[in-house]
Amino acid sequence: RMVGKSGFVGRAHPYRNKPFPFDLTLAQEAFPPTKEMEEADVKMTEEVLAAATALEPTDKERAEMGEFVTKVKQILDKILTTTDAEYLPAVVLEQYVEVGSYKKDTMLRGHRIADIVVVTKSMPTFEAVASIGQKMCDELSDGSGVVSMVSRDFGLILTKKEDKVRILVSTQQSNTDGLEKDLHLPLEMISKNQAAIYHAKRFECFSTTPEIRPLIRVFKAMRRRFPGLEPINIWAFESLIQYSLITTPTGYPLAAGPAFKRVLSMLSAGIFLPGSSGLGDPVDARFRLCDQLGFDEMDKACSTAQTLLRILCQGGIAVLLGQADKIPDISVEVTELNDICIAPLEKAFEPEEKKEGEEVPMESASA
Amino acid sequence: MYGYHGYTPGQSTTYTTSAVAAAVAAAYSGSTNPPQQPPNVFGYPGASTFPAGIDGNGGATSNAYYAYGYGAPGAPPVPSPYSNIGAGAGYASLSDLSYAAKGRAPYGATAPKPNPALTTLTTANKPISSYGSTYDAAVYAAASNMLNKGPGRTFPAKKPNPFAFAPSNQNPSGPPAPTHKYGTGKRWGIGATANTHRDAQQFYCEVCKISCAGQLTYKEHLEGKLHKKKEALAKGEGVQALPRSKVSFRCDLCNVTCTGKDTYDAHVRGSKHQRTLALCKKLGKPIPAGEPTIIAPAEMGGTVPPPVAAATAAATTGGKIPTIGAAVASKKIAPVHFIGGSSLETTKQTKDLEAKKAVVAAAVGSAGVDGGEGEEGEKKEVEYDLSALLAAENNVKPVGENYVETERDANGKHVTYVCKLCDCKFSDINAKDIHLKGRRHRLMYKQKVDPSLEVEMKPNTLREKRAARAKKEMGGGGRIRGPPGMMGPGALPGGYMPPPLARFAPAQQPRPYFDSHRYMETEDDRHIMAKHASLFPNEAELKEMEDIVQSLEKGLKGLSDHFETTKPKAEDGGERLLRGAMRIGVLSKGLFLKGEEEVELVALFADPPTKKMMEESIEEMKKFIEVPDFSMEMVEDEAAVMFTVKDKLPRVKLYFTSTVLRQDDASVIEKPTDILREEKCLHALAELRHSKWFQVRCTGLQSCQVVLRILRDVSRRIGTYKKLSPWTMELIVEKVISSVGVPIPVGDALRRFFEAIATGILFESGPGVSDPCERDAGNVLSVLSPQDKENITSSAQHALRLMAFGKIHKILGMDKLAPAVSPTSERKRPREEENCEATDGDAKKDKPDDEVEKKEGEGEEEKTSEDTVEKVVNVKMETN
Repeated sequence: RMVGKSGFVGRAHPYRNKPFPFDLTLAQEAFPPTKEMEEADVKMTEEVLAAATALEPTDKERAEMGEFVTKVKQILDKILTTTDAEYLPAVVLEQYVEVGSYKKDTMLRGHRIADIVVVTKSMPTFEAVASIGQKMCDELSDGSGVVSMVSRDFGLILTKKEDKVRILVSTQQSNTDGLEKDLHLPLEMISKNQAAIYHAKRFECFSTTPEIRPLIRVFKAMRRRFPGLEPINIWAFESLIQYSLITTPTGYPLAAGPAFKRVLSMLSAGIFLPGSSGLGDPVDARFRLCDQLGFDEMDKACSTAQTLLRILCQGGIAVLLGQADKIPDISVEVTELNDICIAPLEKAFEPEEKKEGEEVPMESASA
Repeated sequence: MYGYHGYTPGQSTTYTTSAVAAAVAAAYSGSTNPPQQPPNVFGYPGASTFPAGIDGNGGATSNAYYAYGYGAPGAPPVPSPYSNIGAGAGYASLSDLSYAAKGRAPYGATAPKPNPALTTLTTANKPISSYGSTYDAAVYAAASNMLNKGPGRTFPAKKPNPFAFAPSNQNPSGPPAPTHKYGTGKRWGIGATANTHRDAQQFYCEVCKISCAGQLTYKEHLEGKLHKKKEALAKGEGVQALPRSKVSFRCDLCNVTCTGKDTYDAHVRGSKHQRTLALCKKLGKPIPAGEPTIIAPAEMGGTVPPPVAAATAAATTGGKIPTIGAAVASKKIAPVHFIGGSSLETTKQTKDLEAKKAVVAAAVGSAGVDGGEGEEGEKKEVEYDLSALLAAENNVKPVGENYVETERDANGKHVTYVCKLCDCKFSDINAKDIHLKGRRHRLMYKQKVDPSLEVEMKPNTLREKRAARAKKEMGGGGRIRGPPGMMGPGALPGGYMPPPLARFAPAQQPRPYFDSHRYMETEDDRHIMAKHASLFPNEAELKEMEDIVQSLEKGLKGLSDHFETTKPKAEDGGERLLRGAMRIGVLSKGLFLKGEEEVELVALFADPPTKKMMEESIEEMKKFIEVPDFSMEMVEDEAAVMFTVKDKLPRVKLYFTSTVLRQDDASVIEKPTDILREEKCLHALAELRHSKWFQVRCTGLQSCQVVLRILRDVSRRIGTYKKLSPWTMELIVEKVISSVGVPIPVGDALRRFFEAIATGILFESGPGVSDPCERDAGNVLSVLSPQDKENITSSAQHALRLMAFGKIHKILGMDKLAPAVSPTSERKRPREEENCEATDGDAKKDKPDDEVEKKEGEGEEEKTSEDTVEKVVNVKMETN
């Protein structure tokens, strides 16, 4: 679902004029950091980086994935450059771009999936996609193992043992008007795949700060561990982490520890809540990163982050990084740390009331 | 400053809060401050913090609403290291002045110790009320006067008098006569006056009404931009824009069109007009009547007439040739007015401006309906409109004169007027008068002082255009826009693949997003202000409080006098035993809420206060208090006296303290055996410093006081927040709001407070909040237990999300307000009105009932949800 529930159409965005949420890092004049804070930050940086290292894929994983991806790319190159019309009939490719966590080098250990976006010149029919997949399987299956193919609405998945390569299909912009349901891939998926290209390109600029990759790994793992954070997609996390790292009063990027805390603080301060200025999408300034979240998801994500932040501030970083013996379900359980009870938060958003809110303007419109 | 102002050099400025408040009150309120109030003795910052209570106009609540804009606009909330209270000297001098201005005898009979820093400040910040320049200033002025005059007599003047060297001008080809040869030049000037007249005439420009010193200058003038422009205007080429809905006034002599009577008056008083007038008189040119020509607004067909004299000049001379001897014999010629495009000849000169206005109105009436072929009714209407406009012109009364302060520079000569409301300066009294009547000033006044003031709408062409465009689009109706989203299914075809705009777009910090003129009140603001109005004490309550406090203050004054006569003075300073009494806490900070039960005062003694002293004080004060049925009890634990008036609230708690206790050598001084509890005395001293800090940092901070009042109410209702002491709350709120860097509306300010707490600033791992009023600057949060911090944080986190999802009423403990009617839908369009009239009666009957029902329903529902919230909070507290 790409349509934002809180999106506003055609008008200037009402939240553009809102103040940026309170950000301790930018309010250092009012709240000067103490020595204890700096010491704690150093410690936290060590812990976060250690956790991130544990999340990196092993060398074996990297090597196997690399081999597979290289082969897939060779085939794609062949399709692109071949002059033989019979090689892959009815499919013309424009380009292919590596995207996703494999390209960004933010893969988690055990997550053996690489993504490649294929941009077609011809219309992206399901048959065309399937024929690409079939060709791949034929070409790739050799002595080293059998490659299987599964079609999906975003394209297809090539599988070789444990490794997977997702071929995401996009198309030229001129083709998008002629897309038909049940015949071609849905526009929704195509635009999502296209966005992945922009994200991958944009990420190259992000990676100038070396701390970003460990932090992304840590937050990806946290997102799996605490389901409340799931509504926030990876791209939103990446952008928020990047923002937290580089936006400082001094201009020097933060260390991993304080940036880790800052991301949670920003989420807790409601950067993705309605009525906040929010964070603009780095690849499209017209939209905010939180535009695609529903109100309930915003509430859930924010309250989860708030609880996590309180756990962090009470010295419970092990819980967040998954090193504690038992990971509590923070949405319902009371966490006890150092004799302090950290209670879960209640919902602030109730969908019934929203329906009421919708009715009112309708009434007034009909009156 | 009642004699206690120099007792210890380092601290002399610290304990002057109430005096500062009085000074602020005096400076701001001017006439609105009732004279019977003794602002100086026990200054109460009435006017600055409780405007509603002091000036009676407008509803108490609505006035209070805008109280937060008051402050000291001269001191913007620049975040600075909180090292000390700072700016003490400046404030001390301010209070000094207020006392001087009021001409009151100092409380203590002893004169304040001379302080050089203070004296210089005194001369610099002279308030309006004390006009007489000080001796220093007078001496300086006299000296500078001497210096200015001196060289003029002994050395050649640097500026040649244009008339003085007139003879050389007659020979333009010759070398210019060196000025210094002629010595002072004054004598030459006298000798040359005979020539002056002729030259002036010779090089007189009819169009611009100026005379030039010589051929060359005259030529230059003719080629100049200014002249060209005026010439074009005179020929009717360029059309001068006129205000659309306002009457313009025109000075025929100088060909100047002014948009208001004031501007016209200012022009007439101005030097340029006077010079032109003098010149014209000298040359015998026709001088138009003293009254202005009145031009109808542009929308009624008014145009700028061609200048009278220029027209004739252009006709006779072609405008370019100097008119030698073209003087018109008669000096008084009836002016010819060109109004509204048609010429109207007033045969006799109307001296009376009012009469003239009527004539003009009639003339415009006839002009406006296109040559008189329109019906009588229409004509009358136009006539009425114009006279209404003229009346409006006269009716614009200057407002907020007391917000304009007069400042003098060091030598007391140069006067600057500073408008505190609009934050602008004038060096000219005319400019000040015009500003006071101006629209911008009135808007600021309406916004900050009196919301009931009516400010005329500026005709907004942009808005009209937008409305027209919107209408057109509605009518077209063909274009359906797709929903947003990165590349949503319904997105515009052209914008399917957005260009990779490689930029974050967060609103960076000091962006002026809060434009007070355009700002639309949000739902949060509405709820907060509605709640605030219900919390703010009404006038009667304020008066009652004021009466009670003042009666006690009278008692204190009597007590001070009593000590003065009975106790032997200390050898060193000769200070009074009771140095003064000051208001602290809610009273000085202006955070007094409805139904407040207790307010606090501090009596400051020269010696450590003892039990004996307190007993004696109570007995003595009782003699001076005139209120019937009061009681005074000693609360020894608190080192205070509780003053209660029967059946009245609030009670007043009067702390006894002395600064001796907080001196560096406090341990050395001998303490009486029956000394009151020292920690309480020190606490009272700290409260004094807090009040002072509050005056400096919070009073001028937009939204700060409103948010604090709201939070006081929240902590009254919700137990979790009670743990956060008022002082801690004030510190956090001030830091949170001032860290934005720009003024923010109340809704955003409250939200930002919750945001800050939600990000965990209270925790041990956070930055802490240092106390700016203590020497060791300890962390004020250290008194909170870790579990308290946890509870407050989680509560704030919930509150923040409630606010985000439009449930601020749950935090404020009130019913949800009905959605505001947007101003666009409220305004009726002219065509709709016609249709509505027929059914109006029925519609009116139906509507209110519906609304009432709806409101009741909502109220019940909200109440139940509120109950659940409270339950939840209680449950939470139990589990914790």
